[in-house]
Amino acid sequence: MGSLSGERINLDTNARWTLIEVFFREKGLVRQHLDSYNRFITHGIKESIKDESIITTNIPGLRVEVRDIYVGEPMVREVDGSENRSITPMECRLRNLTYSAPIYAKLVLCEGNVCGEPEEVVIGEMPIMLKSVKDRTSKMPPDKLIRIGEDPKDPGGYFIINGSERVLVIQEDLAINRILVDKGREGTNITHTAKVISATVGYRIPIILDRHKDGTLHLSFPPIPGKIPFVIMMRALGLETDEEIVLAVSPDPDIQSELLPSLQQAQAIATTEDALDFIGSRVAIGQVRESRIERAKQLLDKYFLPHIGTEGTEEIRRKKALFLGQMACKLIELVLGRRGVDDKDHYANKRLKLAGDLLAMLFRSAFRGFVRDLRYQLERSRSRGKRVKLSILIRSDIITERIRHAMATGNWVGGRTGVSQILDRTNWISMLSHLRRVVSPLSRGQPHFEARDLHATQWGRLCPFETPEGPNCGLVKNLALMAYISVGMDEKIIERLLIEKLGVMPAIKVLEMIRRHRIGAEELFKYSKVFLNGTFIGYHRNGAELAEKIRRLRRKGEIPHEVNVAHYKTEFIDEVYINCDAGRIRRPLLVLENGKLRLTQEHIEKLRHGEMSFNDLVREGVIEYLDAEEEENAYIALNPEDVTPEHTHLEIWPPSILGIAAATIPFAEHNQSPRNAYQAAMVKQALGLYAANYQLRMDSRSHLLHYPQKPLVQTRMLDIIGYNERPAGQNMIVAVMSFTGYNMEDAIIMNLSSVERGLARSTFFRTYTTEERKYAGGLEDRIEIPSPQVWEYKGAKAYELLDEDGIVKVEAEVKSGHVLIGKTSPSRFAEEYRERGIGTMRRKDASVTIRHGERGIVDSIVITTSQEGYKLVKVKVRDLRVPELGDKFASRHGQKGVIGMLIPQYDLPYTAEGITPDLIINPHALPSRMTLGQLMESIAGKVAALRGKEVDGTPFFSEDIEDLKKSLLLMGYPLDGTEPMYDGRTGELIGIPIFIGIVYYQKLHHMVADKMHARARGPIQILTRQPTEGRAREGGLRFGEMERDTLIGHGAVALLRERLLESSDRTYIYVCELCGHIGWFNRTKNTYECPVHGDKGIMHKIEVSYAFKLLLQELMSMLIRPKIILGDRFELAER
Amino acid sequence: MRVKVLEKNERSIEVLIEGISLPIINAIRRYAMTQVPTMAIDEVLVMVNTSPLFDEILAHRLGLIPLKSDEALEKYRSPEECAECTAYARGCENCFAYLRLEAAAEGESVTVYSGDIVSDDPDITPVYKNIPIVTLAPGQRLVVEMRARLGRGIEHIKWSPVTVATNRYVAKINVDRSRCDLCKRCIELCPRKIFYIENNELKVRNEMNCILCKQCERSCPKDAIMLSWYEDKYILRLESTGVLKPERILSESISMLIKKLDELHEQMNKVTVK
Ligand code: SF4
Ligand code: SF4
Repeated sequence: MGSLSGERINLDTNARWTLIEVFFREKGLVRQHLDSYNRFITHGIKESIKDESIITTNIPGLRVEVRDIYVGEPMVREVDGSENRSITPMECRLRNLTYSAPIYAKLVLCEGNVCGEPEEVVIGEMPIMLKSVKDRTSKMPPDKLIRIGEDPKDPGGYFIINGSERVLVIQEDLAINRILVDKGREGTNITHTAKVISATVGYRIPIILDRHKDGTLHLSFPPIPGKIPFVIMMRALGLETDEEIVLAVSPDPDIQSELLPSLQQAQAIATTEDALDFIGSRVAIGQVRESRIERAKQLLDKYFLPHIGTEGTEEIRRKKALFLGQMACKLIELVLGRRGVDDKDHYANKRLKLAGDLLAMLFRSAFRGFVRDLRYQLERSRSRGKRVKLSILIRSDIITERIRHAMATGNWVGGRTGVSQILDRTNWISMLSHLRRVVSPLSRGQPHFEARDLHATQWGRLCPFETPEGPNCGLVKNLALMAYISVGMDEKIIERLLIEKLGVMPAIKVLEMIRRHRIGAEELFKYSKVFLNGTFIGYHRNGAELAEKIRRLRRKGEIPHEVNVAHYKTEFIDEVYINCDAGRIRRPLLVLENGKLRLTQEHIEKLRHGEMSFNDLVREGVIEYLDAEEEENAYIALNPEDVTPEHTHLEIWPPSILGIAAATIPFAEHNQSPRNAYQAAMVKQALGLYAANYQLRMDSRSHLLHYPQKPLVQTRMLDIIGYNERPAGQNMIVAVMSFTGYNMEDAIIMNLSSVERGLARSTFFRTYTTEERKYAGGLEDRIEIPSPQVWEYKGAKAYELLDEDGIVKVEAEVKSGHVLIGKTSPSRFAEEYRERGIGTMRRKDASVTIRHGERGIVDSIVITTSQEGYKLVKVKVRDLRVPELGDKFASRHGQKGVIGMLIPQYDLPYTAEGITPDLIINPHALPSRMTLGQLMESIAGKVAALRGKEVDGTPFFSEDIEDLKKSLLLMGYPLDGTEPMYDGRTGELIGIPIFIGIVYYQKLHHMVADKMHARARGPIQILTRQPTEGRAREGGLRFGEMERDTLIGHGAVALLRERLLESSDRTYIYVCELCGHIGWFNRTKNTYECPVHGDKGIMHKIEVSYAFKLLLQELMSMLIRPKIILGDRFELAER
Repeated sequence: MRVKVLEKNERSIEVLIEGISLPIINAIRRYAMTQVPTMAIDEVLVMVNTSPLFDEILAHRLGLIPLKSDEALEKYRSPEECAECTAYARGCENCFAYLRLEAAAEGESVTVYSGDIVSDDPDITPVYKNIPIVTLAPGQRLVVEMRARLGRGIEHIKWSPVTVATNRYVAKINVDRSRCDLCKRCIELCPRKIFYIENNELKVRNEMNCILCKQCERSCPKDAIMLSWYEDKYILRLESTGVLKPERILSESISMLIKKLDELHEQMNKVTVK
């Protein structure tokens, strides 16, 4: 309750916005990754080794105990063994290092009861997430950050691995430990099925319960081949009698009777022993009964529903049986039509894995590898009878390398690929959006239509617009602005709280009571089932009351705010779901009580003055986070004026359903939806100021817009995203008319004079890197000006720009063919030469040349040493990119186009005041696309320029377009945004007033200069002798199948032959007329020879495509004999 | 023919011209933009540049700085003459004015302005002293030498003496008072406040201000407004970048046009007489 209760609050747009501002000031934009990583590095790493805290060996009594494990400070170990503790992220980027910190472990070597002194050893290195608790830069003030070469606004949340910035992309997963029921697939024996993925630290086991057509239930889980009848499984878990089994499923006779077929089926196996034997016989084939039972017990304890427990106690087995019973119950309820199938795409059934979780998985597997190695080393050194010393046996590179390899390639444990990706630094938005990307594991090859669709529960959690087109559509998503992912908390605490304080009766106890007839089974009908994180834990007398109580306590701050509760009640179902696990997307909402906000004016004031934080509001219960499950119980009003007493919550800021990329669109609600999706994709390709430290950075490729501008038409979100400080576009005067017609088909006409004045100019940077490696045997690379004697010498002209040190001069103009870094390598066969005693061998040219078709000016050079101690040279080349014909531009409304014509100012139309447009787009771009937002932006931009103040175009809360039109009129312009214009070529008035205004345009990174390419002759591939492919390899232009078909269609035989044979891979082979084999020319004998007939063969020279010759030889290699039958080209006429 | 100056100040000129056809006026307008020569920095020799701007951006910015060109037109050779001259590459005093810019920042960051440019020729200096060129951070230095020459707007817009050059029509507004029912729609929509009501009659004032946006004509429910324009009355407006006085631009433009026509005349005579 607010301190001044009852006070009415005027929750206008600005007040609501204050909440958002405070939220982002506190959390930043990549909080999810940072929180997750921080939790892992401080707690998770300790928890993840609990299972393996004692490393036993096969030498009795000898063991190593892991007492503690923690991560140190960022540090790099140099070649000379020294520890560089003052390492900065920028140094790592430039020197291709990994920004990481040592992992220390306190190990104790024990033998029997005698334990040695604890030893602190480094067991590996952990990459450090930028701006996490372990990163020193997270605590630095901006001026210090600037001094060490960081962009003070950089959000962090990524890693630096071998010098490249890498993100661990958020992975979406089906929620674990939740029973999901579904109908069986058509045409199978299965009518209904229940599935649960049981997972705990390190394991992930899917368990499926199927109902067959005959009504029996069968269970399948991976370690055991085939299906196991449900009842046998229950018996194996300790519920021997039919009554017990039936009761564990449900007290309801209707449901119980559904179990009859299953019970009958399992009549023969009546005891736990027998059931275990039945299961054991599946895996331990041919062994004695005792060991079969033993084996079955082991399997059940370890692999069956491991999330309930892996200790083999009676109680845990009973709990497992109970869980299985609930699965059966849910399944039968579905069969009886008491509930529908579960919606797999409901976001309550989804969990996100963040950087911390992913690293934990990786670390656990790496640690296991480390333990295995340590065990081996211990055993070996003991067997040699040496005194064992831990610090010598530890191999720290196992963990380091496993983690680094996974992070460098993206290949994660569990077979996932693409988990770690290179951070997209095209511009500010592309970087942020990449850090908030969510990837689904579903294969992109299959349709998965439902999974790709926008689900109602994604409202406020995932951006409805930002998803790629094509195969990944709907599988790659992005977090909405206010989405916040739960970090997770210990469910034991919550379970205890529920049972001890909130009156939840543990399931086992209840069943026990029923068995003892202390309460009747009918009694249970009135109770609600209580599930914690998907697992059935017990009953409560009144579910609604329980849910209400939990909410009340949470709002008072007595239960952590991470706990969410949902109560489902239908005629047959009465269940309470309580969640406190990690990875749920939650979103904050204003709490309403009896239609009244708990938020007061005072809160807003305090927030504005910084006397209160967003977290305080959550603590006071003024705002609460809801997950998708609890939202099922909520009735949320969109705006204050919609609130009725039935409403439970009020949306804080409706536009926050958008993600970062879509938040850049002004008047987005007036656009056709796909247009917003296009803009959300294109904003990530716009050139701008991608990082303030661009001059220091050595990105392998990057772009910089020369005069980026803040958009005149703003959305409020641009400020918090930081777009206004790192913009990627320019405000352009845009006229809508066809003018010369050079803007047809989405082209645009650009003002040449504006371009000459600097409009949309950009610079392209590319960095070339090389390393002076040293090889075994004292051989080494040398960075130098290669002497003309080396192999593959490129001619003196190529090296003309090199300084004596073999590296180009700064500010030198370079173009195709020029060498940037002169380097020679030892010849590949150098070893052999030496063995044969040939002292002088020719070195090979390994110089780095500028890429084919590119040019530029050498901008800067970095000479440093890599981690291995090799000399590392990076050369950054810049190239000025003035807009030219074919460069791609786009507005913020999915309207993209290439320059079709550059027209100078004196030819362009002008208004009565002499304003000429920078850009002319074609009117045909508008009606079919329905991007009204762009028209509104045009008018709003004009108003903004005239009044000298930006216009707010925030979706749903923008300035009124009618007001904008009125102010346009007041300032002396026609209110509909049109103006009369005169043709600059003739000076005549154009018949119709032209729609002209200011629209923010983005220059996209597809530029003609990067793509323009032609070739006459050039390199060919070695294998096929066909021309190479691609611009970088000076390749030919593909003459494909369809092109071939047109020539065939026209009957243009000569041209066809010329294109596909003569100008491609024509070759001559010699074929023996007698056997049809390909022969050869023997130079020494000066004869043609056949492989079969030798020089007796009758050889003919044949013209074929080299690819055909290759095919013949490949067939031969497969032991197929292709035979060429020769005939005369021209049949001589008979007679 | 009648010419009336509507507005004239340091930076702009607006004249009403009566009795000349549109193509000629438009030719004058276009000549002002493309043919009147002015001085601008064309070549930059960068000696030291440790500023955040790359050499090419710096050169581009310097090129766009307007230089006083009033004297230059007589003093320096025309671009065409220079281009043909063999000494062009070496650069001689007849074609080029030499300028220099040196700046360094110690202790504090310094913004370099156009006023910091030192010119060898006192007649060729930046028009405005306060155009920022680059901001230098402590420790950064800039030493550049520049050559300015005469050029024309047709070659690059930096040589164009005008920013705005327009000629527009003069409106004739006809209100059919018998149709008008004084609904005031036109008064509301006219951005230039041309209409007003007096004695229960729709009146028109300052016709010259009308931009011919047709809002009134299109919105009148009674079709009472007829817009048209004078066929021999045009308003020519030039706004100077400051390099030349606006009236000078106008007269230069006209004389360039005459010169071109004279040349053409001569050539024509030669061809046709033959
Ligand atoms: S054309 Fe436009 S400016 Fe002229 S009178 Fe009509 S509304 Fe006013
Ligand atoms: S809009 Fe037409 S009818 Fe109305 S006042 Fe103007 S001229 Fe008269």
